Amino acid sequence: MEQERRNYELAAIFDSEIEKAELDSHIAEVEKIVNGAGGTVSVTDNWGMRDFAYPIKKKRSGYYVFYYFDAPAETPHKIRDIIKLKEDVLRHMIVISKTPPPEKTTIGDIENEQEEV
Amino acid sequence: MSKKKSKNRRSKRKSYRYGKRKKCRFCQDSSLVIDYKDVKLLQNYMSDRGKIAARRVTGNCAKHQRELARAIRRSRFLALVPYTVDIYR
Repeated sequence: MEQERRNYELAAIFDSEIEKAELDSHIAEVEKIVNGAGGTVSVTDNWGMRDFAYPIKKKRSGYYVFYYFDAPAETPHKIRDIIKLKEDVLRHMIVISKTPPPEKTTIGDIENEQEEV
Repeated sequence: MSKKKSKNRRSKRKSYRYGKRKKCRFCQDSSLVIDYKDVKLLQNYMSDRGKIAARRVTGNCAKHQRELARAIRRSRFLALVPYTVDIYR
């Protein structure tokens, strides 16, 4: 019997102390974790560096990356177990996705918005 | 009969006292989606202290207020919006 798959969103906040050149490999690594746990990532949305509303682990900013994927029900638990051990992911959240994923990344837009304010 | 009458009178007086009742913005416009990533939208429904605005302020229906509050709580967890703003700092 084919297992029922659902759409999920994984929000991951990476440490701002990661070098920009290394960031892509960290993002790809998390994507591999999702795929390895039985998910299929459709879109990866990198917001870039953003200031926190309050400090997390004594850091004031981080890279926000959103992964949109579909997976069977046990996958989110598996992802959590692995991601928890990754020290460069300051915080993560997996929720059931109700909005369709963006077609392209919104990195530019968000950085511009922050500059205006 | 008399019961019905008094009920009518009360609702009339209430509407007079509180003015026009706001309609839920999200019911009016189905293209508006409540999403925890939409910081600008969420901040419209928060006080400058970071508190979630009550339904009597927002005028939202129960369903959308619930969705909104959930979105704000998720957004807070990701440090996109604050839990609290200390204005005396």
